Amino acid sequence: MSLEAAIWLSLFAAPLGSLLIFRRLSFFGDALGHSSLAGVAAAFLIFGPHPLWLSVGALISVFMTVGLLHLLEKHAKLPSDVAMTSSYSGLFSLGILLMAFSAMDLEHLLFGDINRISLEMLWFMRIWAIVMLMILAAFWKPLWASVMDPIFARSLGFKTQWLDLLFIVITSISVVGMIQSVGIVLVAAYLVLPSAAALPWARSLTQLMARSIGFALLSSFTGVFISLRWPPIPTGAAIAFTAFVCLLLSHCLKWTWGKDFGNFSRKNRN
Amino acid sequence: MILSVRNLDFIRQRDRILDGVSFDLKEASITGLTGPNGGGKTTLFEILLNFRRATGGEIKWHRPLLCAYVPQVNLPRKVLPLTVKDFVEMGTWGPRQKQGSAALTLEESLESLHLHSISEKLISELSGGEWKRASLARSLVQAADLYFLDEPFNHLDLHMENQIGHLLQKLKREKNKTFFVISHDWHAMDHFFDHLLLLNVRLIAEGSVREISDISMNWRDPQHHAWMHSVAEIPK
Repeated sequence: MSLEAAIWLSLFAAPLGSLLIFRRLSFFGDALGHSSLAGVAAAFLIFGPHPLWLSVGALISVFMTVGLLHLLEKHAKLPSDVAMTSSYSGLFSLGILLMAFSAMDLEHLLFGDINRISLEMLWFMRIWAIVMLMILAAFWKPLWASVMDPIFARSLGFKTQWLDLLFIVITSISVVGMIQSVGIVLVAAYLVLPSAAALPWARSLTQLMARSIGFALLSSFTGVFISLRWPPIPTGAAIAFTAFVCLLLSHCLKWTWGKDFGNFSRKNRN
Repeated sequence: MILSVRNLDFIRQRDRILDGVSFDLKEASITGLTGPNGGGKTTLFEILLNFRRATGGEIKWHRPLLCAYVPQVNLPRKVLPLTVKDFVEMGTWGPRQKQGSAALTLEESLESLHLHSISEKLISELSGGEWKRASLARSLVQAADLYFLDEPFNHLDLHMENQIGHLLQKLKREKNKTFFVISHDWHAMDHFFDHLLLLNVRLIAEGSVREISDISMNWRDPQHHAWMHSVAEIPK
């Protein structure tokens, strides 16, 4: 069951990550993950440990973070990274405060446990992975055009403000779908690392997404295997660390083997 | 005439960016927009493209038009894994593509902007001039009647500049396309443009390229500044 969860997770997190890293939003996923703690803790205090309510709580606090971000950025005129750090650390600390009143296992929430995932959550991930892939297929062109350059996307006639909203909604739901299995702290790892590993080997957008899914599946299989073989090792961390090793290996291989240096080559780094 | 602009104002946080700008844009023409940095050229483009709202004045489109835009970007900050060909093809992605005709097909644009030999190269590997040509190609495959080009000639060598100048003229003549071009390149403006607007917050002068260049030869010179303004006051 944990392996199946990891597969569904890879199918929606990795392609979303490909879009996020080019929108300079990789930190956004991390911030949303952290801030969901407040909602999860509140839902636990009110409704008890029911996975559905926990997810609803997480979703509410994720949307609250987005609203807060918007307020701090647009009205208080804070730089976006400052706004993001402020809002997520605020809600994260609120979550920890609330956790003090509940008997819930904080560690389990922070680092997740894919082996103890509930059946409801598994169903949620199955459905969400399919919905995400359908959204990506349907909005492939507008999403990538707006990632490339929002002004260009507007000149093509795409409604970029709706696309921004779509980005926020799919990221929020994906984050909520991930926190039970990978934990609040490691959400960003699942989003970003597979795409970052796939990047040097991609010569088109389809290749980037396909290979990032490939890297995600590879790290999921390896991570689940390692944690089953050597029991005290937590699965979430094992998968994230495998993805990190894949990233390093992928870039090292490209650096030594590749004729050119790929996308983040020295020439274009500045 | 396809577009008339009357008394256009744009004020941003008490700074006057555009002040009473009026001009007309003729169909099937190449009109240049020049002037000092910070003179409001890009802002004017953004207002006409509906990316910003003017604080005053009137913009009258004489018939519905499709517009394409090449922003002034030198090198991509975010380097997507795209080959030149895929990058140019993105210009055809828009929902409006079927409503009009493009200036060039994908093949023609690769051919006429000399991108064929590098069409399989990644855009992250391009030089400044290659990138500029690819961006121009990407906008010329967009279905549009009016093309807004923001400094299309910088980073280009003289040979390429001439080729692109001739290409724009050909598209104007044969396909009835209109080009509104921000440029500081007097060579290109002299050889290929029909009409020129000199903008520095206010529209200082307009006319043929020769007329304008006589005025603007001296335009940084404060002695001539008042004189320039008085030239602009002469009713045309």
